[in-house]
Amino acid sequence: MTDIQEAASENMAEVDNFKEDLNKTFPCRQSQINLLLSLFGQRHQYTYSSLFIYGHTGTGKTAVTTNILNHFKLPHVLVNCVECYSSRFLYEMILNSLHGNSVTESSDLVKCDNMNDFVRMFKQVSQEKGINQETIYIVLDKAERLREMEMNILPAFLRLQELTQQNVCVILLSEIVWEKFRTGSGYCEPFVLHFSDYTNDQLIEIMMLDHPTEYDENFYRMYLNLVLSVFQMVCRNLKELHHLAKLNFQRYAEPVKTGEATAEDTRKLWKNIEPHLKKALQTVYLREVSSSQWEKMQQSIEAGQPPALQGLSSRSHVELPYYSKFLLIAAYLASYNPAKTDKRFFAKHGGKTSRQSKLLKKHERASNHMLGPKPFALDRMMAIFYAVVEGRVAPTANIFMQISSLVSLNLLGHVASDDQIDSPKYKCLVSLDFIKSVSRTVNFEVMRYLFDFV
Amino acid sequence: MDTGSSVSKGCFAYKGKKKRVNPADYFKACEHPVSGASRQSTCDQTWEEIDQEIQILRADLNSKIFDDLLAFTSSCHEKFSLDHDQDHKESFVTEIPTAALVTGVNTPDHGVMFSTLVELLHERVSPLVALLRSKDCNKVKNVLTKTLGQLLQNPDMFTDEDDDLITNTKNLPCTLSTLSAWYNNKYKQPHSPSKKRKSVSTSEHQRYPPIVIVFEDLESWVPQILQDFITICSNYIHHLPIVFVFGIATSVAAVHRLLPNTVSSLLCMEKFQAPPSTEYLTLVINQIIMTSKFPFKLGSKVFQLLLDIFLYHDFSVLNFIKGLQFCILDHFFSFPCSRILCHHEDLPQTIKDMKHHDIESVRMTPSFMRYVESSPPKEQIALLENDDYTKKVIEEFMSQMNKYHELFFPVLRCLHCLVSKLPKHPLGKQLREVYSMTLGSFVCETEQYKDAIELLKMMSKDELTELMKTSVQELGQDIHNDLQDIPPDLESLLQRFDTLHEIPEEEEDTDSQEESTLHLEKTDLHNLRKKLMEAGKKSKKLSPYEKLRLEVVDYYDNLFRKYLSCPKSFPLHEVFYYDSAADVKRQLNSSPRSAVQTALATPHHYLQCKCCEMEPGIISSMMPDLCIVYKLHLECTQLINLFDWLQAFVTVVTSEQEEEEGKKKTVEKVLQARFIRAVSELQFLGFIKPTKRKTDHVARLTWGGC
Repeated sequence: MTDIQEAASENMAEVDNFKEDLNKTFPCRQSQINLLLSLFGQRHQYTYSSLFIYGHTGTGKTAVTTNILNHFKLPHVLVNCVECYSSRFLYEMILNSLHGNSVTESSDLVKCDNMNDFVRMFKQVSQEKGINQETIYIVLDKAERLREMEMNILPAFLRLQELTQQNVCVILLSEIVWEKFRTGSGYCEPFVLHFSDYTNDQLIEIMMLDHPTEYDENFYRMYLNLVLSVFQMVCRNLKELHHLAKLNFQRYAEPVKTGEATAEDTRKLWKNIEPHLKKALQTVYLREVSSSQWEKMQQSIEAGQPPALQGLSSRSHVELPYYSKFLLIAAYLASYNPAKTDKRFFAKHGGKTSRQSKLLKKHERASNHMLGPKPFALDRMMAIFYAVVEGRVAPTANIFMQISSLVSLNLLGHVASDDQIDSPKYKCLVSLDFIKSVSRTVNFEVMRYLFDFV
Repeated sequence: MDTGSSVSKGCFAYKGKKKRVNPADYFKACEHPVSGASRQSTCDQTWEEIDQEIQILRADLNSKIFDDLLAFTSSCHEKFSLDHDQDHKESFVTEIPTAALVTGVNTPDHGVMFSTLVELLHERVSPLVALLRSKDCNKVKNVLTKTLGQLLQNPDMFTDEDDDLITNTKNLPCTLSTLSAWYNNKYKQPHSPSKKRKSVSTSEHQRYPPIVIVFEDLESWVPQILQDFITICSNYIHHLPIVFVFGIATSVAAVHRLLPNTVSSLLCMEKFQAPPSTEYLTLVINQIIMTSKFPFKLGSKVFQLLLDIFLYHDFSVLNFIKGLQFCILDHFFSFPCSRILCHHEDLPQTIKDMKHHDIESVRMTPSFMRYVESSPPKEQIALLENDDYTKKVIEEFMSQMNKYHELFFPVLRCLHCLVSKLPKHPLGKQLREVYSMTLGSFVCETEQYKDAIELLKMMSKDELTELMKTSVQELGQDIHNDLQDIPPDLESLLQRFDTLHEIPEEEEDTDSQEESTLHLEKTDLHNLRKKLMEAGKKSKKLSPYEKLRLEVVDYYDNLFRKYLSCPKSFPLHEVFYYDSAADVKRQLNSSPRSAVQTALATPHHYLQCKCCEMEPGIISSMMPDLCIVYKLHLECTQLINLFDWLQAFVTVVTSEQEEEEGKKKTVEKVLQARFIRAVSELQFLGFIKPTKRKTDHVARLTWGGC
C-alpha cells in the first residue's frame, strides 16, 4: 500500500515538474494541459473512453497531446486520417504500430479490413504485448476525415473501450466542432476539449520563444508588436505570423547592425520597416517566395532595378497564342453575356433595343458578373470567335485543339452535361482583369462587348 | 421510329495487325527505284544532322533554369538528418521546399522538358525522383502507388544485398510510412557494409539524398487529391527530405486556386521561370533554318505557314520541328531532283553519280527550263542533249547557290540589326520576319524596304554610328572571303563620322543665301511667293553630316542589293527550297470539319463522278443519299420532324421516276430504309442527335435555328 502511495507521490512530483516544462514550451495553454493530465491520471487508470479536442490550426492541439504522450512514454498510436484513404489502412496502421512491426518486413504484417476484425485483433495484440495493464491511447488527427469513411467507424472508435473491454482511450483531433460530427446514430458522446485561439499578447508571448539570441529580448518584442499591428487585421494564424516575422526581421535589424540607429530608436526603425511590411501584406498566405528569394527581390528593388516577379498583375500574367487569346475572349463573352444579346453585339444590323428590353436590361444589369460564368455551347463560342477575330480563320483541327488545351490549363472549364460528345458545354474561368489584359494585347476592346458594361 | 440506336451501336473497333511501315517501300514506289533509295538515304542523313543540332540547342536553352532548379533541390535539405537529437531540431525544415517551375502554355513541349529534368535530377541530385502526371493520379491511392512505385523500384538504389526488398515491396501497404521506414533503413547507418553502395551514395549524392517529386501538370490535378497528398507529405517532412517541383503552365496564381491557405502554408515556394518558347523558336530558326550549314531550306510560304501555326495556335516548338521534319520528308519524297541536295564537299561526287534519268528530271524543273530558254540556241541544244555538259552546268549552279547562302545570312543579319529598332518596324522586329520577306521576293524592291531606307536617312548621328557598330559585330569574326572588305569599309566610314567637325562648312552655302535675300527686296508679293515655292522645291543644301549619312545608307543599300537577292531568282532553287505550302497545310493544319462539309455539300469534289457535277445548292436525285439528307436538313431549324424529312427525301429521289406509280408501295419501303440509313450516318457524323423534347423529331447540332 505504501509502495503504491510512494510511487504515486513520486509520480506526482514528476508530473509537476513536467507541467512546468510543458508550460514553458507551450505558454498560454496551462488550463488545457492541466485538464489533459488529470484526465489521463495514473498509467493504469482508465481514461474517459474518448476525448475530442478541437481548435483552429496552430493552436497546439497535436503538439500538446503528443508531447504529453511521448514524455510519459505512454503506449500510444498516432494516426493522421488524411493518410488513410481506405479504412483498411487505418486499422492496419493502428495494429501494426501497436505490434511494433517494422513496415519493411511484410511477412508478419497484420491484415485487417473490417471493424469486427479490428476489435478482435486489437484485444489480441494488446494482450500479446502485455500492455493491457496501461491505458492505450489512439490519437486520430484530422478526425473530420473519419466522417467520409464507412458509417460505423466513428461510432465504433468512440466506444472502443466498451467494445474491446480494454483500457483504451481514443483521442480525436479536429478543427471543427463536435456538433458537425453527429450524422448517424450510436454515438457515445466524447469528452470535448477546446483549444481556444490565442490573443494578441499570447501570440507575442509564443513568438518570443524563438527570439534570436544576438538581439535583446525587448528589441524583438518591439518588433513583434509592429508586425502584429500590421498583420493582425488580415491574419491571426500563428504559423503564418511566425513565417512573416522571420522573413522581415533581418531588414528590421539592419539599421541597428550598420549603426544607423540604436535599438531604442523605435521610431526610426518603424519608418524603415513600414514599407516592407506593407509590401509583405500583399502576399500574406501566398508563400510564393522563399525567404532567400524575398531578400534578393528586396535588394534588386533597392538597386533600382524593376522587380522581376512582383505585383499581382504579373503574378497572373500568361502569354497565350494569338488565336487562343481570341478563343478565350469569345468564351468570356459567351459566359457573361446573355445569349439574346449576341445579335446586338455581333450582327451588323442588330442594334435595336426596344423599351421592353431596356427595362429587362435594367433588371438584369450588374447581375451577370455577380452570378459568375454561365455555361455555353461550343457552337456559340465559335460564332463569337469568328465575329471578333480579325481576318478569315479556317476551322482547322488546331483551333479545336486549342480549346481543349485551354481546358487543360484551367482557363476554360468543361461543364458536365448529359451528352459530352455531341454538344459539349464550357465555362470561362478567368477573371475580368485577366481578360482585360489579354484583350489589350490584341487590341480588342472587350468592355464594349460586355453586356454588363455598355 | 427510333433512329437513336444508330449505326454507331454496330461499330466495333478492331485493332488489326499492325504493319510496320518501311520508308523504303514508299521511296521505291516512285519512278526510279535506285534514285528512290539514294534519296531516302540523303533524307535520313539530312534529318539526322538537323536533329542532332536541335538536341544540342535544347540542352543549352534549358541549362540555366535547370541548373538553378538542381541547385535548389539539392541545397534545400542540406541540414537534413535522421538522427533525432534535440539540437538538430532547430535546423529542420518545417515546410516542404517547393520549386514552382513556370513553364509556359506550350503543353506539347512539356513532356520532353520534364523527362530531361527528371533525367538530370537523377544524375546530379538524387536517385529518388518521382514524376507524377495528373492523368495517372485521380485518387490519393494512385498518387501514392505511383510515387512509391517510382521511388522504391529505382534500379539505381538496389545493390545485391537489397534484392529481398524488391520482392517485398509489392506486399507492403502503400503509404508514406512504408517509404519512411525504407528510407530510414537505407540511409540511417553511415557505415554501410557494402563499399559499393557507399561510394555511390556519398560521392555522387549527399548522405541523405532528397526525395524529389515532380508534378508535371499542376493545373489539371484534382484539387482535393493534391491537397491531401501535400498534407500527407508534410506529416513526414521530419523523416523524409521531400522536395516538390510544380510544373505550372500558366502562372503561380494557379497554385492558390488549387490549394487553400491551410495547405499552401505547408509549402515554401520558390519560383523558377522557364524561358518562353518563342526564345527557343528563335534559336531553332537562327541555328537550323537560317544557316548555310544545312543545304535544305524552307520556302517563303512554308516558312510562313509553320511560323503561323506556332504563333497563332500552340507555341509549341516541338510541333514546329515536327513540321520541319515533315517538310524534309516530303521534299525528298515528292521531288526527284532532291537527290543532288547535299553538302558542299560532297557535291562533285554526287554530280558524278547522276544517271541519265536524274539529269532528265533536273531538266524538267521550271527554273532550269527558264534558264535554258534564256540562253543562246546553241547552248540550249547542249543543255538539253549533252549530259556531261548539263552536269557541269548543274554543278556550277549548285555551288553558286551554296555560295549565295554563305554570303546571304551574314548580310541578312546586318540588315536586321539596322531595321529592327526603326519606328513602326517596317521590316519587322524579329530576324525571322526579315528573313521571310527576303524569301518571298527581292527585298530591296519592296515598299517596306524603301520605307526603312528613308527612315535610316533621317537618323541622328549617335543612333547611326551605334547601328553601324552593331552591324559590324553582326558580320562576325570568321567572315567569308567575299565579305572581308565590308568591316574595314564600315570602320572607315565610322571614322569619318568622328572627324566630321573638322571639315569646314562649304562657302557657297552662305553666298547663295545672301543672294536670295538681296533679290527679295525688289520683288512684289506675287513674285515672292513664286520664289519661295521654287526655293522649297530646290533640294536643300546638305550639311556634311547629312552627306556622309547618305553615303553610308547608300553603301548599305548597295550591299543589300548585291547579296540579298531572292532565292527564287536562281536556277535550280527548287532543289534547295521546299515550298509546297498546300501539302503542308493539308497535313499539319487540316480542317476536318470543312472537309466533311465539302464532301456532303459537293460530293463531286471527292467522287469525281459526272452525275454529281452541278452547281452548289441544287439537290439532285443522283447524289448519294447521305448528301441529299444532309442538304435537306440544312433547311430545317433546331428540331427536325422526321416524317417531313422523309417526305422531302422521297420527293427528291423519286422526282425523275414518277411514271413508275405502280411500284410505289414497295419503293416506299426501300426508300424508307435508305432514308433511315442516311439519317443514322448523319448522326454518326455528329450533325444531329435524338431528342426527347418532341416525339418523332431529331435535334440539329450545327447551327439549327441560327
